[in-house]
Amino acid sequence: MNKQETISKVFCEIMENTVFMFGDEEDKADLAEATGETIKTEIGFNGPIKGSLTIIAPISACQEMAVNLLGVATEDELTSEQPIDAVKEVANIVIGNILTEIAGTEPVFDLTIPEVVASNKEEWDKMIDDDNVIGFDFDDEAILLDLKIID
Amino acid sequence: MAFNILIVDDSSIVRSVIIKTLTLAKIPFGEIYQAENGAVALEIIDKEWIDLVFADINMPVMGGIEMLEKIRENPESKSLPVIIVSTEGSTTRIEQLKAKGVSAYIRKPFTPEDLRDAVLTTMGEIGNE
Repeated sequence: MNKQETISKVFCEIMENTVFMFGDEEDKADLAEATGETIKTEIGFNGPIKGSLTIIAPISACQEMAVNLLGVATEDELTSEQPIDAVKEVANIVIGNILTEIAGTEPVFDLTIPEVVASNKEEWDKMIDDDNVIGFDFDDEAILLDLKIID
Repeated sequence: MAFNILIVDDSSIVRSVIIKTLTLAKIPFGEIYQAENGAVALEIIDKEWIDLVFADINMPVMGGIEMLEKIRENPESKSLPVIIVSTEGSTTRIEQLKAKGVSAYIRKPFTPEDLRDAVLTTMGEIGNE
């Protein structure tokens, strides 16, 4: 399994098991265009390999993550912070599990605290054009993921 | 017996998920206290009767490892059970945490059964009541 296949497998498993959203890797050209607000979260890692994981998702997908994590009926019951917290937590779990898949269970990694960074249509388009970025379709919601390894 | 539980995580959604999972796992709990970092948690431990702590590792202000060290240094809290709930899968890290006195380690994502097993392992037969 190559790096991209490993990332895709881990991300899809975490999405299924954590926020009960089902989907697959998708050609970025075929993804639904992000027309509304998006949230971009980034988490860094430092150990035998260094880098960062970025996830960018429409606010509607982040709301679905929060609804499913909390087990509430609709997004009307969410605070404005909870969709952001949900995607940050997904990023946290995804990077922990990807690092184990890539580097094994021996090495120790220090993770940064997930941060939400600037996100807009321009940012989305930039990520769509980046060959390193992987596109996913979860329940008709497009989500982009970028794992950057520096060393 | 119902436990007074302190949940330490900088994410409010994770704290809510742990509370929900405690209910699903049928863990008998009394008061639930919440802290967004280790420093706030130490203040709560100083003031309230806490039976069990769930803590993340990676938090601003004071992380879970520093908080654990301070709990173990204090004669009044040195025996307080601490369960780490984290995304990290490094066996080296888990061994380091156990050497520092962590009672159990739960890796995210976790199920109600994972959480119940960790509580029963930590609290022993009290958890079966």
